Amino acid sequence: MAFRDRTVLVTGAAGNLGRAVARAFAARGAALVLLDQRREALTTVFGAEDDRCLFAPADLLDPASTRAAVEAAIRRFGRVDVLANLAGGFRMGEAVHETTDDTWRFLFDVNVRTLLNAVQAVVPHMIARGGGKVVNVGAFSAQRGLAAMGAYCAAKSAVIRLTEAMAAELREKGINVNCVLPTTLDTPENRAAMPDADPGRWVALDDLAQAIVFLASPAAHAVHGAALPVTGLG
Amino acid sequence: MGVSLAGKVAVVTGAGRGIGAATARLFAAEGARVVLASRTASELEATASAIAATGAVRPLVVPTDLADEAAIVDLIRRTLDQWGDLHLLVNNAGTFRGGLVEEVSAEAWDAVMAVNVRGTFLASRAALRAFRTLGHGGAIVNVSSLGGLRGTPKFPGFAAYSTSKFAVVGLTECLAAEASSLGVRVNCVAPGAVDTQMFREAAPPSLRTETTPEDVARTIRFLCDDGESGAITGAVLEIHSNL
Repeated sequence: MAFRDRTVLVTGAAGNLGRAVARAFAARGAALVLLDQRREALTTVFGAEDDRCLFAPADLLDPASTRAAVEAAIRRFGRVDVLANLAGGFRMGEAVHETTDDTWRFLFDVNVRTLLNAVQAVVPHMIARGGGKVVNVGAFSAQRGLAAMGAYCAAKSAVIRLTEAMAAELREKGINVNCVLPTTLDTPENRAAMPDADPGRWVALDDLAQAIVFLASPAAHAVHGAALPVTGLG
Repeated sequence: MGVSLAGKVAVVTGAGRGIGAATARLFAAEGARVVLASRTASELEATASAIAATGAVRPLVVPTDLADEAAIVDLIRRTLDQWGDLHLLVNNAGTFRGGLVEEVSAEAWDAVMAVNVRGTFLASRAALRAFRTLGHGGAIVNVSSLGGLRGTPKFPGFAAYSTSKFAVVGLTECLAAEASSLGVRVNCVAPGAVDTQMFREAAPPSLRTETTPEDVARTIRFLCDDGESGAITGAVLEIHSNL
């Protein structure tokens, strides 16, 4: 129960990965603060709150809303030890020179701005407490730009670079900042969208959750600024 | 964490001191059956005795010159003779020779490549052949360095060592691609300054690092545990120190 005395704040908690990550941390004793846009989505996925699980609906694109959610977490549990920035999104298909404003704004909003707002609300508390862990989600495909995925690669690259910058800034303050770089996740949506693909070659959500838990764990206290590929064996 | 390495047979090279010894101790404490390999028998015996004194299974000691192809084949053969199995290989043995490129000797350059790159290749080859014969998968963890990665600071005098550690990353990625069909995961750790004898000999005396061999050992352990890192192969896990 490595996280028995820890409080873990998960953004994008009602999503596929959010569910797996919340479950993984809960299984190790963590108190959970589950942040997502809509309370109904959290209720659908997680059922009811309890004394170890707080729902914190918030708009991660709104700094004030995000701050309010974090304040609620602090009031309930007194601390946030781990921030798992799982909120994110994917789009592909447009060449760079044809990328619409909407696509660009969407990808940077859901992948980068949500991260910025979350760390702005959470990191000052971690600094005051003298420690914490931040785990972000990049993408394996963002290590090099790819045709028809330029905007997505750029947005997830921003996540990786911000992870490294934060690690350099916060290492001396006892805060570990790292990210995972998954390939395609095995989700119902992906199976529906790519019926001819072999999901055995994708990354199981529980496997990615394990990697995220590791980066948030005491065993990883010497790991800073890592971008950990999680690709499965396929 | 805890019992996932129990009963696993693990070969650790460079196990006489530093990261290798710390890794061997950590694995043995979890019930792994460990094989210690390096050139210096006395250091290996000391590590083995210390482990046995804790009540853990006494490691098998196999003095091995990691620049010697036949010795490495023998290392794996003796592992299979002793324990009848192999699950984990930690290619930690490494050597450091400093010197500016303008001044470093070909002999020093070759010595670094022989242990750090060729030794990793030879041990991995022997392990893969063993995995195929045994009919099951496993995990290999190599030890690179922050100095073996793009975008990190490069220090004068470190060219041979850094170049060898770049090669370890390339070998790791290639091995990962080749070995996945065998069910073998291959990853590497890339530590920065770690408080070991090698670091103390290579770095100025005023430089103190807070990263311990145990910190690196725990990261290696993560990469050896299928339950924790079962979807991770071809990865480089950076370990930054306070420096």
